[in-house]
Amino acid sequence: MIVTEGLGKTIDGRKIVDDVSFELHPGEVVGLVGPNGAGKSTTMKLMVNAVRGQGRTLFDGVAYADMISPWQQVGVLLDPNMFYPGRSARKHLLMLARGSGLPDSSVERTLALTGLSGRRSNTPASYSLGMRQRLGLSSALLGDPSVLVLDEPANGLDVEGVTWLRQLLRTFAEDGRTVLLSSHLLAELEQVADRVLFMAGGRLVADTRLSDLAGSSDRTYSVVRCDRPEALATALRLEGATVEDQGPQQLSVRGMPLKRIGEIASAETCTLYELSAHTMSLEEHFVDLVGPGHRSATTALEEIL
Amino acid sequence: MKSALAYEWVRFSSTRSVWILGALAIAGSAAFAWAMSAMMAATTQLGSPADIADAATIAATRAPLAPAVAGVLGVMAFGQETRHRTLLLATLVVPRRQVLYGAKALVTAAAAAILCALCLGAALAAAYASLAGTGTAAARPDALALTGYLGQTLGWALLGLGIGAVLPQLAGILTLLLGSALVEPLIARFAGGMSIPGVGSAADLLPFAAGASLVTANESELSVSILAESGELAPALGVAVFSVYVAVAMAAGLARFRQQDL
Repeated sequence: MIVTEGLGKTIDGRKIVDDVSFELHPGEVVGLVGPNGAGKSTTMKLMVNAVRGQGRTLFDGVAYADMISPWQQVGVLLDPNMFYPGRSARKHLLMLARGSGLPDSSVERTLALTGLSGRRSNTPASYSLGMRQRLGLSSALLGDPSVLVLDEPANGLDVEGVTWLRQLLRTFAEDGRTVLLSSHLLAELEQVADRVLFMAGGRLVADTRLSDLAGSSDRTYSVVRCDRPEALATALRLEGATVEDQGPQQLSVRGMPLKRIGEIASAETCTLYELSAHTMSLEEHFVDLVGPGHRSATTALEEIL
Repeated sequence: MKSALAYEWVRFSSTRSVWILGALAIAGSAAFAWAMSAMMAATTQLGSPADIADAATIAATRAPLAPAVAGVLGVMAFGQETRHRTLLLATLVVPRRQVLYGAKALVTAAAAAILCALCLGAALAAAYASLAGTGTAAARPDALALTGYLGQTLGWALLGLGIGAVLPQLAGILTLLLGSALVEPLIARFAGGMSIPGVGSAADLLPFAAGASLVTANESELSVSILAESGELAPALGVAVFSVYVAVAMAAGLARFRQQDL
């Protein structure tokens, strides 16, 4: 189990990460999601001691800095561009394998796993971003670790690559291992994560199972277009619905079934042009919660979750 | 430590610029020694095997290339890794930073020693080949001076490592090279008049001058007459002063590295 307690980082008086605590359990794929600048990468760096700050992270009771061969327990990908441009991919991985006390055969194994065997003699400078991500994943998987910490691992991967990554991570978790991966795109996590940690403004604002978020009633709403939206909105509000004006003659209604909306429209003698049900994607739901011009992410997420 | 050394050795030996700089240093040392030997043969009567040995030793140990390149390699031990962000990767593989720092120091020192031996070998071969034209039999070069040159090269390498951990790569290289070739001679010009009882000129206590005293302390008549070398620190004092500078740079580098956010 991984336990982080009170992680914090302040730069020039500004809190980049503020008192972040969470636990990760074996067999879980956990997403760390938040807008750019939310503190996701810094949180991951704090976990593995790459930056100095407050708090601590224990991997099965041991801090990363105190591990003798951490690469055999925790695989980390923080940036796909960490390589010397003149060194071949194979040499790059060999360097890491030797530094971790791993056999040279682990290099060929992970190159095959990530589909880079045919390009192992090329330098990463000649790779596409997707291939660099695969090389970064090769590095993280070298020691066949029980934990993976991956910062935006799907960046630059093509559709096939993303599918491959999802399968890899699911298989990894099914083996009883743990994955923490970050993304600013919730949709990326929708099909792979069991749990999501939301970060905004350096704080962990919510920790929820993805199934709970997917089942949130706030994701479903109805769109109504009619000739007298003001009168209909008043009547719907009196019945307890949440109504938002969405432009000329159009309303967005939450908390009421379509049938009841139709009945109230009929009673108000409104002429309906449209009455339809919609479900927001998790991505839209997230943007709805933390996007600009909305309530603070903390408040919104606490209310919803 | 064994794994950290293995990491560092693969990193070092698979860095292209290391091989390019090494080859340039060896070729440059040979060329410098050839030219200097020819100059000594043309201007001085080298009548005995000992004179030939002295001339070859001077020609081989006054070339600044091995120490300078070793210093640059020291700077690059951190500079290259910082520039290409592999330092973060290195600390993920070897999270105990003092261990990684120690491994970098050992590998840099080992590489500097190998480089120095190859430069000396090439320079002595070139010098003896150049001096063969005098028709005088040759004796063995001065082992003490050669050892001093090795010490000077190791010192520069570790000085570079410490500087490289504190400064960005280009700034570190410029500090090392311009510091030795430009800044220190200027300071020495002003400090040259200052005398410290029991030591000599204050200028001799400057870092690169102290390092050079490892080579020139055992001054021969030839070095005094040809190069006008005199007044350097006594060998033991030279080693001590130079070691202090190296130790300070190394300590500063370690302190910075241990606190560095990557």
